[in-house]
Amino acid sequence: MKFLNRNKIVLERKLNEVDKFTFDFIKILEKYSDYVIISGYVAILLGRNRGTDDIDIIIPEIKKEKFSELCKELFSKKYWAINSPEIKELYGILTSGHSIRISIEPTISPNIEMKFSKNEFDAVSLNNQLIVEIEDMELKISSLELQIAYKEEVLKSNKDIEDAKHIREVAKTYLNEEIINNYKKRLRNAI
Amino acid sequence: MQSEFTLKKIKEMNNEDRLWFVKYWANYVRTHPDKEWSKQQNVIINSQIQSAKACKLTPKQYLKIKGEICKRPD
Repeated sequence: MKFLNRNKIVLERKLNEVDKFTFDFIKILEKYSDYVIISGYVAILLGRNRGTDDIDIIIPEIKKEKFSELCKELFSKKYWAINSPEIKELYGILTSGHSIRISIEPTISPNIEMKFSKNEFDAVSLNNQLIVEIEDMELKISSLELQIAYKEEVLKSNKDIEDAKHIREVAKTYLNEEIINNYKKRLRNAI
Repeated sequence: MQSEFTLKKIKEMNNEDRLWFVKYWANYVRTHPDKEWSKQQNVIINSQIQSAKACKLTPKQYLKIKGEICKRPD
């Protein structure tokens, strides 16, 4: 795992089923929207030894027409949205602040849990992306400092504390503690 | 004889042990080639996905467990 600079990590890892599923989905998604991967899969991508059945993704709010085009391409390539078969309903779920889940029909796992950006921290994630390169492919993940701060300050479950500890350890030469503390302060004020 | 380990103490010890292993594994990841740790990690991830695929929940059942909106009919 090489931290090339503040914006890029290169991994020479072997791909697992969740990685392959994620790369295939992102290839389609990025034709229609910017995105950023957050939460558990970020820790897993960086080596955390645990399973997951979903990949959390934030996208900026896009217009209904653009979202419809995205869905049509996904549905034509064997994906389905678990929440509803109707594009209009899916868009309504997203604009109401909830997430939708997309997987390969008829399976449910793994799935992409996708939501529109809805607060300043989602916007920070989208605007402070870190590129992870594996086998000449790229994924955009959220700032590691924000991931740690959010898991330690907001989520706080055992799983989240352990994810944060893992990221702290593998990225210790890269992380900026001042940035983590700054995010924590902002999160405390927002809670 | 009553155990000196209260449930609270056992929980704390369990957390300590888990965090110790998280640190141990993360150190392994940091100090070994990606191909080496990812091969081991993939056994866990791939087997979990295989189990999840074998579990035949409907979308409605799955989303109910997650506490999320489902607009599909039963």
